[in-house]
Amino acid sequence: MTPSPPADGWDEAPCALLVLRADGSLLEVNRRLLDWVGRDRDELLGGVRVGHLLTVGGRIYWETHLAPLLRVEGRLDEVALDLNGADGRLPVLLSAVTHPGSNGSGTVVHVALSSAKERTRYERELLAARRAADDAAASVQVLQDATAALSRAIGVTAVADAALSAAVGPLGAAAGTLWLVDGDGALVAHSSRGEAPPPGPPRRVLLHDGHSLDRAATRPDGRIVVPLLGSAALQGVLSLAARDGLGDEPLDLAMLTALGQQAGLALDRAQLYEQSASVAHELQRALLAVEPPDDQRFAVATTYRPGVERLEVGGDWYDVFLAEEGVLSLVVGDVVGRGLPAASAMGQLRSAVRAVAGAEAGPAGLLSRLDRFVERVQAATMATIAYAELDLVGGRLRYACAGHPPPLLLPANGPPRLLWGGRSTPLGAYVAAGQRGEAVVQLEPWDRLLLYTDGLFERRDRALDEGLQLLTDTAAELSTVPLRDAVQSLTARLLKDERSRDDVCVLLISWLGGAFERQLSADLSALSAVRRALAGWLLDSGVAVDARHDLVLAASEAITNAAEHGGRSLASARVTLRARIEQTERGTEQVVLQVQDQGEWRPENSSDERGRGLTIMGALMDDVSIDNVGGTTVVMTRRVDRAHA
Amino acid sequence: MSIEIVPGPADVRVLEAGGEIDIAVVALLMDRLDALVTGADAVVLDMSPVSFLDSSGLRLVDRLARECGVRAVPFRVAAAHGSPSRRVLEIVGMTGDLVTADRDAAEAAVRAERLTQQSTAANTQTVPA
Repeated sequence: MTPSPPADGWDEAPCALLVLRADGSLLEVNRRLLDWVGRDRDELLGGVRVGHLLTVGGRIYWETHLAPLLRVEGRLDEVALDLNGADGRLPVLLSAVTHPGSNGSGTVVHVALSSAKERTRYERELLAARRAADDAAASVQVLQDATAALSRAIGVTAVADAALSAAVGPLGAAAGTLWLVDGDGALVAHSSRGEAPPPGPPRRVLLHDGHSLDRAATRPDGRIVVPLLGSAALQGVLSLAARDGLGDEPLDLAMLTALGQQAGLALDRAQLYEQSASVAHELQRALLAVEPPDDQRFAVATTYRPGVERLEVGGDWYDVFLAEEGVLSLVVGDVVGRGLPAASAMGQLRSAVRAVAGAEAGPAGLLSRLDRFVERVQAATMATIAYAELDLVGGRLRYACAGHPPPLLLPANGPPRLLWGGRSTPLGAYVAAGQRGEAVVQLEPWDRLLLYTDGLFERRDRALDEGLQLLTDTAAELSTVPLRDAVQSLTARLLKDERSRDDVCVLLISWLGGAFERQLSADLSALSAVRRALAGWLLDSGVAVDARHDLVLAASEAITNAAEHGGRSLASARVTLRARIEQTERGTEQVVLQVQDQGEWRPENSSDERGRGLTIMGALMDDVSIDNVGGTTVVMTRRVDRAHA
Repeated sequence: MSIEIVPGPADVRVLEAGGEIDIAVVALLMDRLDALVTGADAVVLDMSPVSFLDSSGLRLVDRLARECGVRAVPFRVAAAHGSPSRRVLEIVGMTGDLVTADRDAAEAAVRAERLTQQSTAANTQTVPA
């Protein structure tokens, strides 16, 4: 026999039970409901509709949505509503079912309301937990982004920037300053964001009571301090100001601590990088610090520009030195690669060139020897080099290019032209024996020569020919500008479009001619000094000692002659001595001495002495000619065999 | 440039010239030449140490020769073969009797000439009018 339902089940049910008429008015209610709404039975059963028991919003919802639904569906399941309870809003879940009714009383609706207070609390907690989880995920993402930015940063400044950007940004600080620990252990303000950098000298005291700082913390004055701990020691401190507007959340100290740790390690790396970068830069600076020989027969200007976007050193270099007396070596080269290996290979190659250069080998011979050298120095393989030897006395230029852009000749008179002779493959590239060639060009006094690396004219989006033409045209425009300005202007103009490009090395040399010239006042007080200078020039030019003595004697005679003719008493009268070395038609070389004065040959001043002078000149020189038009010019020549070609 | 009396035998005055002798220098020395030969019985000019000599410098030699000639004093020039002064003297054809290769030869030459002078004078004197 089934037990009958408890008699007081209706009133004692844990939920509120109602029976409604079809129009929504209350037919029956249980005690639970009366307790919940705090009203009497009589009150409610006098025609009150169920809507009145709800909050305003709930009532509207009931009337516009739920009641119609009930009529259509005949039921409602677990609808969340708020009851106008005795102690305030009471969240409930409403379920209802329509019943045709017994005893002919018409349709009734059975309604059960169960309290949703706990459930709502549970839902709210769930939502809060999910929001917290989302926030945490977002924070982790922020931290990941910051860490990625820190690891991309190259150099201390970039790391500081990344750390400040993360803190005064996604991590919510209003403003901040990054301090770095210097060599003495004091803190120096490095950079700030959102606030002015603090003035004053480095600070000794850590910004937190002197206690050692191992995580982010709030100072009594409200600032947040975050230690940037490297692997071995404190690298710096981030000092942050929190936002203080309404609704701003306080800064997440745990996140900031994590950021601080990442930033500290990034600073470790940045310092190591800067040290090694500076070693490489120092090396490169030392290698490029070339002191050209001091010689009146040429002038040279050089410049070096590091590549854009690159923080590492490159492998470009230039060099100018005397291969031997009177022979000037000019070098511009380009080693493959970057960084310390390239810089060190470049240094070795530069030394090798200096060691090997000498007139017997010449440019082709030098390149052949360098081929053998790079077999042993792997990093120098495939280097390109333009090498030239200039005879400072006669102006003859021998040159060769191993895979390097052609030198540009800028004649004093005439259009510029690229020197395409003497070309062969880069160093160490396959080259058959004897394949290293060279070419020769004769310079005239005041001609210029430009050597450079490909960064000067090569661009990824421009044809090589176009670049070379631009180089040629620009150099031609600057042909009369003083050397140092010319090389700077040329480089600046060609690098105006500073999109990504390689390093650039430029060397511009002007041959001033091998001639000798001196002027003396007619009192000849400087005669001895001029003799010495001429002897020096002849020595530099490779003239043998006996010939030197004879030439100096002949010059001295001619000068004495000129002074006596020109009027020694005139203080303003001047005598000019010029000497040069010429190629004759027969292919030999001769020294040409020319002495000029403004006076006239006065035969009555001829004396035995002057006669002797002419006798001496005639005996020592191959040819003496005297021209009396507009002053007196004596030209004397003598064949010489010089010590080298 | 310098020209100085140097220690030598009692009967020959030795002048040593050194440095560079050119037009700028010669003018300065001319005034001293008189004093350099006065009172000497025989004069030798040693030019081997001279590092430079041109036609103007030869004036010095000319002048010394003339001063000695006026005083009837034998005069020789010593110039080593290959030295700068020798070369110039050769070119202008001033070698011959005037120039010897070294100081000793020059001293011998002036002594010989002195003896000849003295014996000629003696001979001249002993012949009755």
